[in-house]
Amino acid sequence: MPNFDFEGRPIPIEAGDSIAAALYRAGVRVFSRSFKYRRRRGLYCVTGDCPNCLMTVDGEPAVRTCATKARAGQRVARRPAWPSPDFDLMAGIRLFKRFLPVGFYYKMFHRPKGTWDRIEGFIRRMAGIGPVPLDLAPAKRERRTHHPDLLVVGGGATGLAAATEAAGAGQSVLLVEEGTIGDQIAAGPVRDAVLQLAAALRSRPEATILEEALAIGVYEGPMVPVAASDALHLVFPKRVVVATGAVEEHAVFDGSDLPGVWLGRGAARLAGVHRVLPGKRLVVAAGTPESFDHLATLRSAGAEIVAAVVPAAMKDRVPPGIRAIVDGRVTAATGRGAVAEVTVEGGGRLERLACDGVVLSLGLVPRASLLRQAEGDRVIGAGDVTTPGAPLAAAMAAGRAAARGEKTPPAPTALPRPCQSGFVCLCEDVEAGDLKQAWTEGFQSTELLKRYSTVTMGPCQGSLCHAHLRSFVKDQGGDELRTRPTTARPPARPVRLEDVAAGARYPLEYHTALHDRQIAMGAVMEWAGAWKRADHFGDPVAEYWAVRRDVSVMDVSTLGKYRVAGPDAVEFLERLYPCHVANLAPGRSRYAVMLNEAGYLFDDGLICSLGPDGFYLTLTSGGADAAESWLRDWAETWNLRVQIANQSLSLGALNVAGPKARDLLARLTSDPIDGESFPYSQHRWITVAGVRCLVLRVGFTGELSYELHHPRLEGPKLWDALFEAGRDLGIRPHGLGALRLLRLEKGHIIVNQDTDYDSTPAKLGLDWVVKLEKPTFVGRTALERIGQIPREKGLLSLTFAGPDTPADGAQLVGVDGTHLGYLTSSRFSPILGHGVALGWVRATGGRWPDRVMAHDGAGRRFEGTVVHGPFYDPKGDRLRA
Amino acid sequence: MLEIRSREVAIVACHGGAAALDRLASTDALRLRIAPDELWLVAGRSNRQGLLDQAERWRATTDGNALVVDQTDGWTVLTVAGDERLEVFGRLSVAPPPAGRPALSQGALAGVPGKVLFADGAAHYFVPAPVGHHLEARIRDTSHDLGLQFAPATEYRPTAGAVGGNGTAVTR
Repeated sequence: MPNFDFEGRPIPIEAGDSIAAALYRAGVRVFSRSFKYRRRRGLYCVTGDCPNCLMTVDGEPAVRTCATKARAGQRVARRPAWPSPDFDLMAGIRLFKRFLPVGFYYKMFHRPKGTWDRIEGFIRRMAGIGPVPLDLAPAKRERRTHHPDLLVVGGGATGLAAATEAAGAGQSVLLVEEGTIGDQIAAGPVRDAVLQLAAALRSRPEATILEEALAIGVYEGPMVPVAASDALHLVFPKRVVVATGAVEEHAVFDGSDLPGVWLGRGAARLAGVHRVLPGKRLVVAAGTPESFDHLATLRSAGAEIVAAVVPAAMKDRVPPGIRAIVDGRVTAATGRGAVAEVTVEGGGRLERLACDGVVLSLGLVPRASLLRQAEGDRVIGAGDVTTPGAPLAAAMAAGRAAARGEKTPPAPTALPRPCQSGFVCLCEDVEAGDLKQAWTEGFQSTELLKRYSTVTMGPCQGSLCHAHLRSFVKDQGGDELRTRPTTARPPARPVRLEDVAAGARYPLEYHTALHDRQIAMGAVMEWAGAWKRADHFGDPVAEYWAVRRDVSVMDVSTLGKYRVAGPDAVEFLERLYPCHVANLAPGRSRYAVMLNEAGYLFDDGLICSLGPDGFYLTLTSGGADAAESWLRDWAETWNLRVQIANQSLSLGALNVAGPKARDLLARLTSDPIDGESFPYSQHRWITVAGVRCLVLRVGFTGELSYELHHPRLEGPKLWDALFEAGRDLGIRPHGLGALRLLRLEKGHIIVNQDTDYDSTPAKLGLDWVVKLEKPTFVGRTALERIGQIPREKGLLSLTFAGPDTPADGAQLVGVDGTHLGYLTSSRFSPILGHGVALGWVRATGGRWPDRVMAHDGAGRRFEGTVVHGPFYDPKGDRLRA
Repeated sequence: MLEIRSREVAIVACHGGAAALDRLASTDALRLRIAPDELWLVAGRSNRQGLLDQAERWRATTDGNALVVDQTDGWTVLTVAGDERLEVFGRLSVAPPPAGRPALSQGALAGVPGKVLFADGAAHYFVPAPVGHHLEARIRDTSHDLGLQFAPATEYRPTAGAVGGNGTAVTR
């Protein structure tokens, strides 16, 4: 016989067993320990509604073992306890109950200061439903999407009738069922009907059935995520029929949480489906028509029915030979660790009945969490969820009507009898007395009590306790508003974190066309926004020197690249940029910054005039998407006749930099590239190695540089040609690491690294890019006003005596210890022999400091000197070469 | 059988006024109206220059303010063919498959901004070239249980025609 492991013990599995059924058959009675008081908890609902049977299965915590099929080889365990879950010494904590009232953590352990910090860990270890495993291998869950005409949640008679009706009308239908259809129903007419309906539905091409699939919630749309074993299914139906049925009313009295107290359906399911007797001597409280079926099932399975506690209207349904206690009520259950006796109040007297189990069918409460999340025209309930206890024929009729979009008026359901004592919430160990105390403290509505006491907030999400909560509030005199149901939110059932993250564990890496080429050359890649870019190729210092002394190539394909054309293109760019655009002659390029309305810089790049073909713009790699939105928003706002085309994807770009860059290109092109024909800050269409490129003379590195913008797929060809031709010139590729140093030596900023949230061009030392004489541009008004205020901080250039330099982010203080700012970029300059940095520095007394102290995170201090202008080649002779 | 292959396609984007784009005709290209002010001419890669010429002629004769941009290199095109192609689509996109053929769906595909052209008995995925590898890997991951087979890259010459007009084909 197959078996699974339960805390080191093999547990045989019989056909159709759930884990809980197999465990119960094997003699396990304590299934868990309670959340707060570590009380013994045994099987109770056996319908997946209560928290009592939560165990760890194959390393996954909080699995509802009554709703999980037993499979050979599973490893099942309860939450660890000392010395064992059967006898947990920590259960003694209940002796200190008076010190642990509801909400105690809001009031206690907060003085003296620090007490809570010390005690919190202990409380967290003691409370809860078990530790979260941190050593599980990350699971990759896929997502599936469905767009059926109708989604039916619930594979009972109502749900199946609804699905069949819709499928018959030619609609696409998806039906999801938490378990296996029919598996949990005892033999009888209901099971026969369900199996028959299911068989018919399975044969219909319009219908899809997902079993062992959990509807997590109903979101706007509606959209219903369904967690199944194969994937997380995102269902976008036109309509939803919720046929989730009802759960039997939770019993709240002294001892009602003892092992041996059963809900009727659970006890009958165990006996009728799994052939396991829930007890030998049972007291049955039968308050619903179906409870007499349960009674018969238990009896025929061999249980002795000590007594049936029934309302007067049902006393005739008690089978002969069973003692009936009419209009009685179970008021207590007692026993050491399990039920040994129940107290029944009836006819004005109390009677104690010896038994080993009490089976309660006190009424039905709609399992309406999903329905309450989104009930409306497109999400409607049918069957027990709106009319609990309806006969089979009526439930099926309601399902068919719901499939046609017809709502069945819900039957009024009575709230349970107000509880006086006992555990209202099994998940969170909230007792009736806790609710009373919370009420006296002023939490006088369902919503407030929920938040303060955590009732309804556990794994069952109020399946059992929500009705009691409302009943309690009503009994305390709460009006309709205070008594109304609490807001239902997803998840309606416990959900795995991997389901929440389904489909999201796939980082999206943008690759340039040269990604593989660079990897092959030893590139160490790093994230740069969404892109993977080369940080270095093994020797960033050598890459740096290649740019300064020889020639080097960098893949800058990630730059934003845009075309702007149309009759209003000049007007558009004039309004957008703070620099002049109209006077930009064809073939010339201009550095430009983008400002927002507040005058703060958020992107930079080049504007290249293409003459009659409009303009070519470059934007930063990380900011291009936002900048494109900016362009399009303003074009639309101003209603100008411009066309904007994003060429970032279709064009690659290579920066060929270094004093030998011209020599290298000259070997690959016959077009004129000498300094006179093609000076700095200009661009030309040039064919390089047979590839037609828009070439920009740029100077970010501070050296003679050509940026080759080319069709993306020509990138590898161009790259190979450059390296082949430059072999004798000492050519190397360089990555971001070298680039950051090269541009820092020139004092060039990197947007977002060196800029702050309120960086105006003036604060950055870029006043020259702003032409306030222009009548209008975005940010102009703000800059004018800001210009009237004395500048309090600025991005300054600093030098540090090398070779050690402070790290990026080092804090800056003045000679008097005043905090002045921080470094945004800091490196040792090999060519200058000392440290160079950019940093935000605050002016004191209207003056910039001459000297600062930098304190980095490693506790080191560096004395720095404020300098003006670029550190390297301040006149720009090299880049203009 | 389910088959996936990379396709060689030429894409020329035409940015212009809606009315002018309505008048853009082609006898050998598929016209994808991806936005009211943007239309793509799509044909086999071997017809790249032909598309550019057509677009430039249209610009010269119909909308001098328009912008014609060769976007061929900017997009990776993957074709999924076979009975389960809609199942594959459902595993990559939360959008419903559009009705009618040819049809165009635009939106996120496995987290990537893309477009799916349902035409010529297959689903053709257009995604930005820098993330083409990502979509291919995600199709492989999500649909390996469907018997997916990879086929060599070929040119895709879509049947000439138009998908949508005045932006009506833009679905999310």
